[in-house]
Amino acid sequence: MILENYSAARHLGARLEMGTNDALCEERIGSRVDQVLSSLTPPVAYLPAAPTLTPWEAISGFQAMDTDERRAVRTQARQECRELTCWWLQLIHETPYPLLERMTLFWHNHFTSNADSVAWPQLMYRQNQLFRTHALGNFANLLQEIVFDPAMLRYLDGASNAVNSPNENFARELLELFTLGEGHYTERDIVEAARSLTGWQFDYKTGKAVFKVWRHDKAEKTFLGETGNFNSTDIINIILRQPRTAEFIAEKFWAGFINPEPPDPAIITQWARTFRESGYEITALLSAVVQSQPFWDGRNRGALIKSPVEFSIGLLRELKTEISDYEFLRKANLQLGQNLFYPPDVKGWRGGFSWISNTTLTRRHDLISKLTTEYGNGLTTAIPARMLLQQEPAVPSPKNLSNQQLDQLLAGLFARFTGTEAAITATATATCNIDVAALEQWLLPLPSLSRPDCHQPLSDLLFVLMKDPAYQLR
Amino acid sequence: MKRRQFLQGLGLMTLSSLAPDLVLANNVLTLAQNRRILVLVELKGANDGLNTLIPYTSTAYHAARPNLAIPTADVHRLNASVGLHPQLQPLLPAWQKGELAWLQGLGYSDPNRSHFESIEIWDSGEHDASERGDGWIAQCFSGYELGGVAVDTNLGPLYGETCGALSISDPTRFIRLSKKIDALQAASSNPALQHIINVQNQVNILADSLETYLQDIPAPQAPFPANPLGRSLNSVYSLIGTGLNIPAYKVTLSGFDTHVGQLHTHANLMQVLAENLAALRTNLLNLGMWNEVLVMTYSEFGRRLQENGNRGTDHGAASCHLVMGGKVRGGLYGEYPSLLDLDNRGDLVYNTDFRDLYASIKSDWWGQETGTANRLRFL
Repeated sequence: MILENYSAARHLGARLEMGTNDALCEERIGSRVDQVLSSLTPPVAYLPAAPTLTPWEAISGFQAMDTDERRAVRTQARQECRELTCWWLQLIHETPYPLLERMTLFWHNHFTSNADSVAWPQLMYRQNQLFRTHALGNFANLLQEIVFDPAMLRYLDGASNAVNSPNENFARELLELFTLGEGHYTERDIVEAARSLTGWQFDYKTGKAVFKVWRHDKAEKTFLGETGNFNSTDIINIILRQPRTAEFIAEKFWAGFINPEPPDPAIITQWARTFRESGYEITALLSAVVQSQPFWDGRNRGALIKSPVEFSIGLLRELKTEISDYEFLRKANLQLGQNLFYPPDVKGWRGGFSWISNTTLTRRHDLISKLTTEYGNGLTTAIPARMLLQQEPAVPSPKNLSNQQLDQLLAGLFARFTGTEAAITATATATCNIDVAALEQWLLPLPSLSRPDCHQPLSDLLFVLMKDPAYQLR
Repeated sequence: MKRRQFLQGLGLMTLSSLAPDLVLANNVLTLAQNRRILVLVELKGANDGLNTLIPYTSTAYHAARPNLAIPTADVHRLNASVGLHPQLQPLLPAWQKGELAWLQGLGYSDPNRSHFESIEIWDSGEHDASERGDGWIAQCFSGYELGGVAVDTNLGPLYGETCGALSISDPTRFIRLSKKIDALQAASSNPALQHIINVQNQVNILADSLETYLQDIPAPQAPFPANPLGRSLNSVYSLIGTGLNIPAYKVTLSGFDTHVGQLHTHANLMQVLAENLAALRTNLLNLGMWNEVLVMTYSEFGRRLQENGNRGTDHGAASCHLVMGGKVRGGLYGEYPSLLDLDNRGDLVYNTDFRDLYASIKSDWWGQETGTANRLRFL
């Protein structure tokens, strides 16, 4: 399958990356879809630099601390959780591998844990790296490991699940939200799975999971029709043998990559078979998705609403905007309804239409204004602002770009759309020297509703296109 | 899967875009006298009814909850067998005035213990997923331009295909930011795009209307507590205070999924709930609008009688809820479920279908036909 034109290349990028890179779209015309997909997959060992967090040794004695010490450690942890969110936002903004971050976020929203309940940023970070490690790897391995991931053990009470005090919380969500989906297991299966999963604990001394044999229920269990002295590995293996598991994940890929409507059952069956037969290789599923008929169906272009992170970071990446204060971006995304590391509940962000309400739409428009025309908040949105103001930037950019350098950047970004370099910073033009159609094709997945006027300055045109309803779609 | 599941939870549905020829049954700007407003408070995560309205004389209660039973001496006794959690003390004035009713044994047959399925059952009033349609409030106000406002991200029972509903957080900020958005005349066959166009247009209409009406609302006499529920109810108070004809509001208090270490968490939640509802009552009394308002709590299910090994409780079934308001006939309604005769998972068995509660509100508060004679006579 070949990317035949700009629009096809744009569609693939909009679904797999963060923001639309105009130059890449042009470059990819004529390439094979599977080649582009593999070019987006990073080298196996790619793990970005870690955030600065308090070493675990300072927390390992938490249970023996007095009230004041505990308060101090917890206050620091809450602060570091916020910094961790900023760290990830920065990574998504700057990464050379946006697909990896997209899929890391996908698994964060699938195997949810919330930093408030987990309490320790060190554990949230480790879980995040677990998702990144397996994001484009093997789902079966990820599923086996999530069972004793320390953050998950704390979030869904797996650490409290023991033979004499069974706790069903993790077992229930494992079946309902992580693998099979409602209606494909019984209450009895939950009880039996919970019993089989007993024994894991969170060890404060090391900050790691430990398996305590004496806490494990060693009696016989019957789970999804199979009987035996099961442990957590057995339970996951039984789940992985259910065809329904691959279907459930395939359905989530439909919602993430095709459209928000109920999926086509025949396609799901097909994708699920491919996924299972590959031994749960995530790229095998992804490859099937991006080479399927519904992925390329014209009706599914621009059928997905951008999440707050896709919207805000996509915009920053598109305009190559620098930002020094990620705390500003964290708060903005919090108010748009997506605070990374704090999903609303175990079912995660619902996404789809729910991203856009009266309140969040007004906030998105407010953020467009802030990100494209305002200084302050550590933002250097000097690119459009330079065009808009025609004067020295009020605040120097964090990277200390000179006006000359900014102009070069602008020319690099917009040369394709303007006949002359002067058109980039012109305040208004008597003749049309901006290729509005090309600009529109870059920024919007569908024709604009706002009918931009090519006599407007380029900065105004950008503003009009980004406030077009279609800019909220990908 | 169901169209409802696909569309629900939207911040907004505009009736006019879906059925432009319908004659609207209400108009937001009607300043109505003697309004009949319902304020829904979702207790998200499943509130432990047993430690809310406490069967303090029951030996089974104390036996099943060695760590979690509220000591009898601390219970605010309502009668010889049940009483309130100590932190619900701020609700006692309403109880003493006869404006607070407790509805016992609420639930439904074949209870579902998934948070997400069960709340859909409560929201829609329909057990069978394939039959699930509009939210029960939306069904009551089919054809309304604005049936309800969720000061919340999830419309829940306000969601409906033929009833307008919207979600906003802080009305004042909403008006300020909405000035950056323009209305747009357009239609699209792309549902996502159409959704955004609808929202964008409604923002305009609504912001213009609200701006005029929100100007003269007196500041609350009793400040709402400085927590998320307090901020939500402050917004509800302002919107009710405008005199606008909006029949339903929804707010949420989260954190009730107390599988571990319940005692302290639940006590805090009880306190937050009670202080907030008491403040709402005081402030609406001050505006002379308390008789126009009915407050109701709900939750996906109750929690298990037997505490678990982690000083918490697991998902249960039947539970109790409260209604309060100037027109409410205070007291206890329904029967407290038996603590000895439990279902096969060890949960309380309901004796009052939650849809009887809905029918009571529908008929006795809103004067609508219900097709059932089953109701709780708290109005």
